[in-house]
Amino acid sequence: MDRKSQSLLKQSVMSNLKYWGKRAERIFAIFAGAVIFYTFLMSLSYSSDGADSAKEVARQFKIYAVTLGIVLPLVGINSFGVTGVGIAMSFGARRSETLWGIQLMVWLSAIQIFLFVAVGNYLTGDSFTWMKMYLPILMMSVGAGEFVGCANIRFGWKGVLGSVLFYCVVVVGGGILFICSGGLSILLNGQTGKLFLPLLIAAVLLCIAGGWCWKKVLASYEVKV
Amino acid sequence: MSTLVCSNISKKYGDKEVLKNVDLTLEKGKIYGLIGRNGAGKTTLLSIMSAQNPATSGEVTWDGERVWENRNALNHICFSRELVPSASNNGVGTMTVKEYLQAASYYYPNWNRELAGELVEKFELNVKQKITKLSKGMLSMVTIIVALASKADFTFLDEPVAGLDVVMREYFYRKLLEEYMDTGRTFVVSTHIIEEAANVFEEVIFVKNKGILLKENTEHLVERCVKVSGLSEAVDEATKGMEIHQVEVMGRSKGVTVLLKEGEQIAPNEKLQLQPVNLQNVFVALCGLEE
Repeated sequence: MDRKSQSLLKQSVMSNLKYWGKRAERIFAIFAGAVIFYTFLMSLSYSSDGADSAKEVARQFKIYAVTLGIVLPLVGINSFGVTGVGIAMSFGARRSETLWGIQLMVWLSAIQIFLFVAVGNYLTGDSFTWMKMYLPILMMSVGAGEFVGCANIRFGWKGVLGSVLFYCVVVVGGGILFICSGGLSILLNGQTGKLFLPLLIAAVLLCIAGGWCWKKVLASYEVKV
Repeated sequence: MSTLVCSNISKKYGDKEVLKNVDLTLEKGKIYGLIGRNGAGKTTLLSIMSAQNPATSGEVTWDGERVWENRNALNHICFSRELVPSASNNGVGTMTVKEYLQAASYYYPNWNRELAGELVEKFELNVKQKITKLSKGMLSMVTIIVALASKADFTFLDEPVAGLDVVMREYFYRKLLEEYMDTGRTFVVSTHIIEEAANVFEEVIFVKNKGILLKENTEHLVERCVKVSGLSEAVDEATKGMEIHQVEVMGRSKGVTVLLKEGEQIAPNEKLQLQPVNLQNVFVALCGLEE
């Protein structure tokens, strides 16, 4: 790679980091703010003092972090990703650059969410295995969010509605399949390690498919700001 | 000298063809006026030239390099679009002026922060205000700031003076000329307020019938266009074989706008009235309603 190419690559990386990085920070800020707010709100109702109360607050913190952590990538990609594409491209960002920018935003916020949940996990004193299982679930949420975002760009609100409905069907269907295939008994017997790899593979495939979907959508994207 | 070249560009939206086999060359160091009626395809053309929209066929090159997905070429092009914050999914509406200008600064390598600040002050914009809350004139101000501060060699402005009051319009044209004189940048200004900008345009590009009707030096075009009026027979006789536009008949009198070719001229006589026309008249004559 010659010097000119290196400088252009550096420019691309820097502009993506500044533009999409800032959006990732916002997603995380919304997530962290909501988790802290709800935890605080719930903690007001605890009358007992001491260790029990602290443990309960930590438990609430983790519940909200886990739940919102799954919802936020889905919503965040849709709102911050979809709305960011047109602006970036109107300023001369290439399509490939934008694709990487969105991935940067998505994964940067997902990592932060994961770490935040890990703090909740640490506070509750739950085992690390729990976090290990949370990883593919979070990744699946990211993958699903990528699909919803693409559907939004391609088909507008109908796309969002359709893909969210599809997502719900898949989650419910997947749950039923999980129970029928004996997954629940594995879970109840504490053998979560057996589920980790299939879930991780499924999550990785979903994310790759989501990224590919973005690539396709961006290739024919028409800027309208 | 660097050039931006469109070769055989066509664009279709579904079955509707907006541009057909457009060839256009923009040279560095000129101010072009891009003029066409509503829906003529001006914005589409600028979008394709800046790689914001894909062409159905054909290609755009900057100094021989393909513009599409080319960071090096795109660094030299800025298309500051007319902002429509109410449109769904565009994201502009959620941003403040400051955030929008900051985002622009991330992508344009030669972004001039001082100039952007100076223009914000001159336009008296509140940078903390949400874009969705801005008036039409203020939105135009934001697009002007992006265009001028981008310092891109080829800068396109789509309806930059829409909604601006006359004082700000004059300020904009003065600033545009200053920038042009200082840097030798190329500007393509798409506008419907033709006469006001006519003195600024070195060349004009008329867009009609899915293509470029003409691209010519503004002064030269206005010079070779003349309105001939008088008795019908005399007008017909004098303009025989010439390119005639906008025919107006009133009783035995007739008025036509003639686009003279190289070497052609109309001899003045007592039965004819020859009147010069301005750029707006030329545009109306060439691109107006065909009756």
